[in-house]
Amino acid sequence: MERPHPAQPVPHGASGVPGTHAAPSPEAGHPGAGRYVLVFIVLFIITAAEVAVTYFPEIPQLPALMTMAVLKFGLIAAFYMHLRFDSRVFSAFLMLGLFLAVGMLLSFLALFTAHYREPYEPVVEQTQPGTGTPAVGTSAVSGATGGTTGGVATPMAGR
Amino acid sequence: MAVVTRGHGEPLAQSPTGLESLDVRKLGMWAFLGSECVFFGALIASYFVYRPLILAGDPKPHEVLGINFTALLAFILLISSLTMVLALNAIQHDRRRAGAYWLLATAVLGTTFLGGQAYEFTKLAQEGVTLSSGIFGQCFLVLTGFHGTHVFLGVIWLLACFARAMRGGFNSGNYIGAEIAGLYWHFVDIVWVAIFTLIYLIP
Repeated sequence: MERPHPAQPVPHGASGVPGTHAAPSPEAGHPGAGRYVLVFIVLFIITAAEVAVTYFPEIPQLPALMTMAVLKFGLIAAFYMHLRFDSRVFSAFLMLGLFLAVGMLLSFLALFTAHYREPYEPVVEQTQPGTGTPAVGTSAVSGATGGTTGGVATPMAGR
Repeated sequence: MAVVTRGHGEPLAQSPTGLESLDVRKLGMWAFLGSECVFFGALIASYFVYRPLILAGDPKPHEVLGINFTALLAFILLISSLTMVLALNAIQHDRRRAGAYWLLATAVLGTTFLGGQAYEFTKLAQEGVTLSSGIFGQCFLVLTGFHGTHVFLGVIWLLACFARAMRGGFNSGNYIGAEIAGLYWHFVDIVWVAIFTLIYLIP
């Protein structure tokens, strides 16, 4: 459906302006119930496919699951949240939030796990001979982990 | 030239940009939802930062409950998104009673989801996964707990909308309250789409 130009007068409901003062035509720009049900069927199928993919480890899980999740995300935002029919300003707010969220996720992953090496082995408690008191030791695998924070190993410790 | 309003549909002046024609309440909700993306993004980022430690020991939700149970929760939220958008559609077409009942159905489905989440948390607690049990308990329960809190607030909001709809508070000329509640509810569903994939499905 064609998006109304922002500089042109738009029908009520199409731009988010509630029609409280004139003859309403709220359905203008929004799809009907049939379209909503159709979108739901597609979402249902994608979700079922997501679950099915997990039963087939030979399928590359990460790209397959991420693709389907992005598809579902887009369908809900475009049709159920009406971003496909509303002003692009609303889309911009969501995209800005998504950009910051994804940027933060990737930044933190790069910052904290870039030097992480498999396999990870959890911290083991060693008993000092003669004293019987436990002393927290580090991983047996050199470089896998290097320290503790309050008894809990952290991936960024010991770098 | 677009019509300038102050959020009540009352024309004030002409705008060359068209930005002023946007409903301020809807704009405010979208700004809030944008900030919510960052909020949940931070929680998901913390989960992935500690994921190497999480994979090392603690029981995982899909191991305790199976993927099918969490998939059922995902389906419940998906259905609730459909009922929400059908409620708005009915209200916009002046089918007020149908709109009210679709709103009630959405609230019931949200409550069902919360029941499923409470069951999940109980089972995990029986397996020893609590907020104080370790890094997995903290990351997982804070993330899904905040999502559940959003669902809970959404259910309260939907029930308020239902009461208003039953009193005839929404119609084809005045539906922005239901539309904004719908935006919030669909966002809660979108967040679960992300959590379901990133936390439960990705091995």
